[in-house]
Amino acid sequence: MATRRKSHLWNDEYREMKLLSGYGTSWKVVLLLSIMLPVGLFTGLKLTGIAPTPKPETVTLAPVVWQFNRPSVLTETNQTLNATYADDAGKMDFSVSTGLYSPPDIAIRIYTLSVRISLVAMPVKGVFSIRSILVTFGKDPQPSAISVQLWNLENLSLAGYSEGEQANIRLLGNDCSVGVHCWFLVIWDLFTPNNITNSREVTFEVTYFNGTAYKRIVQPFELTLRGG
Amino acid sequence: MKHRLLSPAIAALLLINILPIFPAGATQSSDWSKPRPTTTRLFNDTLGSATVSSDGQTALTLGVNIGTYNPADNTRPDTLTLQVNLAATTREGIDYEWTQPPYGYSWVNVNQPVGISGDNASILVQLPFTVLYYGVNYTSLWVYSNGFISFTSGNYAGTSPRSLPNNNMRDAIVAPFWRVLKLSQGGSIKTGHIIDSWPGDNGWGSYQVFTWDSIPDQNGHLQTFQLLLEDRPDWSYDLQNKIYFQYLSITNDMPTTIGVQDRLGHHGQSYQLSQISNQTAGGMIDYGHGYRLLGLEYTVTKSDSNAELTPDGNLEDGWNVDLNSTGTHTPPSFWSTVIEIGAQTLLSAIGAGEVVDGLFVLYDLTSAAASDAYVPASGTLVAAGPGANQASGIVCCDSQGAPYDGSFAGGYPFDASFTDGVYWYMLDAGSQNHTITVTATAIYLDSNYNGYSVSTAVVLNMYTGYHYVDIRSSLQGTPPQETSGVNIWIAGQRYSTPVSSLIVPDGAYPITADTPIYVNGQEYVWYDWSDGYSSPTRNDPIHADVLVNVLYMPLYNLTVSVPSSESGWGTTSPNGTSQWINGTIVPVTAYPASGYVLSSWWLDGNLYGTTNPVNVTMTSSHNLVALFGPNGDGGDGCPDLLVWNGSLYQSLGIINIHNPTGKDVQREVSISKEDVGVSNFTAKLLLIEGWIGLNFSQSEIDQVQLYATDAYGNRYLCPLVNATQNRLGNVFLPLLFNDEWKVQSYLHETIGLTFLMPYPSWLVQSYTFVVEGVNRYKE
Repeated sequence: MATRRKSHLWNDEYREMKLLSGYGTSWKVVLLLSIMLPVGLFTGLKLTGIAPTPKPETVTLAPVVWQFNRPSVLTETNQTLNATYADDAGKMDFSVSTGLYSPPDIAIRIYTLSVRISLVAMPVKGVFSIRSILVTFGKDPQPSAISVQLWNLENLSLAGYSEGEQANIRLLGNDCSVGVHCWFLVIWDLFTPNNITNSREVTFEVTYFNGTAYKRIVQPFELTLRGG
Repeated sequence: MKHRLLSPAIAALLLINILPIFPAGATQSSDWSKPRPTTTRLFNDTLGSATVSSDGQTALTLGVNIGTYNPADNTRPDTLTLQVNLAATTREGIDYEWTQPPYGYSWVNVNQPVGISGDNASILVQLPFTVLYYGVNYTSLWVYSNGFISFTSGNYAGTSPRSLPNNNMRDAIVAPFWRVLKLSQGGSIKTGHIIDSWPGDNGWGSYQVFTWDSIPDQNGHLQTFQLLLEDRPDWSYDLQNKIYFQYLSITNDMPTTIGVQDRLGHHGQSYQLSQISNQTAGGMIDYGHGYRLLGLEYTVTKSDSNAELTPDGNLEDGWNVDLNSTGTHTPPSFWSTVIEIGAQTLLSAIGAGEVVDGLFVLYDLTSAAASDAYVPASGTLVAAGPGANQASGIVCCDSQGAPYDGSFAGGYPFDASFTDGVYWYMLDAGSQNHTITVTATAIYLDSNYNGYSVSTAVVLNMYTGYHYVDIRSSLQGTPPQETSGVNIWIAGQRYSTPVSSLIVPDGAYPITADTPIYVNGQEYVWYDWSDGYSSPTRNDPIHADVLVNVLYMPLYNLTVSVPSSESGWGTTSPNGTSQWINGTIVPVTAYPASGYVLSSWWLDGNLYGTTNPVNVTMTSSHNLVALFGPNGDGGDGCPDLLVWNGSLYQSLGIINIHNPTGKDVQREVSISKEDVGVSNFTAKLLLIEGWIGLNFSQSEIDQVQLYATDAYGNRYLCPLVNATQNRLGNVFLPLLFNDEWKVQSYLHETIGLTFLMPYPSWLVQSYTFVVEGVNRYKE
């Protein structure tokens, strides 16, 4: 049954989406200023050194490499890549699991690979406070995209994520000196035929505070699906 | 109000484009309900729902492609892939009205014959421009002698006038004056392309004109009228090409149809003949209701908390929609081109704007373009993330090219489609039922920007407690060759392979495969199930999907015999005919009678060695013959003489040339005429060194000769033409003469001999074989 909608509502909604019209300009200006002024003030203090940002020591770990020949049929790759970092304050277990490599079907008309990434970070002694976690999916030389699907977080908050050709997941720690755990299911959408090689670097950047300094641990995983 | 019809047959009807009339307010849909598989399963199903808004202006179709169900792995839970496809059109509201042409009646003369002169005739004519008629572009039409044209068919040449619209004629028809006319008795049909010739036209347009000129009807009255199709400029405000009729001289005393109808015969207009007079004009014009699409939206709603629905925005695609509104990727230009080509193909070949049947094809074209392009599509305006109770996607509609854009403000289109991939995750381990509802909504505007919407939905259900049974059958081979039609009995019910996606309740059901079976006259027996089950009948309860192949092996005959001429010389085991499955190695043992020895085996007419027992590999049916011979002179002897009798070599026994001194011995063997099979004027003999039981034997053969003997005892030499030793090869010359050049033959080696036999059969009464040589060593 056709439902008559309030015309001005629908017109405004969609015109706004399409045309970014100037409807309601005055309150937008107020809103914009209310955001820009505090941000500008804060940035200025940072730049002048009045509010210095602690610069974390960065430790970049050796990349973990995974290569797999692209099959033409549905295949369980069933691989789990692990990496561990530990110091006096805490321990981090990184893992990247690869699951179903799926050929096109009537619904998902491209090749896909399901990938699960996870991190477990536990304190050892003293202060070990996870402040932020950034997972980046580097650009694939060949056409492909990342779709974030499912996740589970413990003592972490999702600050945001982006999908597409270059994707990332941004997490913030909830509390001090407690263990954190997270996993994400992402789908690697491969917009290439089966004879093309796709590759991506998945990088964890974990920033934590050990009571005296900030430290950043960088753990790359290099995933390659070899064509042909 | 929606009327949901649950029959799967409705979905089938939707997909094969044979829907009957689809009136305003009608909805047809079909729902989908399947058990949750325990193994990966490609459903490859399409679920459809279609509706027309109650105001009759907009048609909306929803197609859900159901892809692959994969059980949980190390990365994700049970997953079913879906593709949600929406397509909508406001062309459903297009219709024509009878009107007066702006400049009144003005007869146009054209002179080019269309090429028909008989009664009840039609001819296909190419148009010099594209005609947009009821939302479909046409470049040709059929002209009928009976006063009308059709853009889609030439099948109505003998049809008397019918009312329009008429859903019994699913063709686009324009009838300026549909009457039974007798073109064979006079008059003509002419056409011409007239540019800027309409009086007062100000040079704006052009027309294709068809004139039925002075054609008598069944009463003999001459009828003259014409049809004018306007060439619609790209910039035209008109929604469809205008159609004009002009009547120079007609009568109103016979049944006549004046009108138009769309391709499905469910929209159209007709005009009363009584209101037409000579030298008048009329027109059929779509004045434009002005309804256009504003947005397309889908939602996927789940019924329980133990599932997740997540769109994959990377897979978005569509036609006449803004996929880039918030997207982070800008597709290469050819991406749009690919989609456009798909939709334009649809327009020209099938016709967007035709409710339901065209739109389902639009899905496929769009999706095919997406899969071929290998380019990421762009982002979405709204898409629910993980954990949301409802996944959704919404896009604004935006024209992407003629004839869509026209002049409507904002570029809102008549037609649009939108597709996205959605993952349906089921978080429990196959223990729970799950249901989702996929709803499609089209939002559309009238020319005053009033907004309306129309929705349609389908329900998908996955339930537990049932399992799939898929059984295929194959015949042993490399690789196995699939066969069909094998009877499989499940709980006493007969099915025939391939058994596909049979759904059975959880529980105990014996599954039995027929055995033996016959394929092309060959007998096969059950060999195994691919999952290792070791009996033709499977009695295990079914608590999971059964996906198996049943393998059959061919049965071959092995016939072992001793020639009747050697009856009593020995026996074999097995003997007679026995059946063996393919690949079986069958040992056959010969048991010579006292005073006889096994001389050789012959498999399918070929020498098969002299070992005992001998192994026969059953890759086909075989005939094995055991040949025996007398055991020489108490142990002396060598070699064994065999004669080809036309079908096999028959042993004549051992020729004793044993002489420990090493001096040649000459022996003669008399051979009856019946034992020699002469073929192509040749006779074949075979010498086999030694016999079974000897450990060593060495003979030196110097010369062989064969004589034919007549009734008077006269001997005639049969020349040796070929002699081949199985180790040395050609030994013709050494055996030809009595000299020192001899052929050494060791235990079980053979010498095949061919003699020329030029003598007439009636002359020959018997043969004599003469061999000269010596066997010095044997043990």
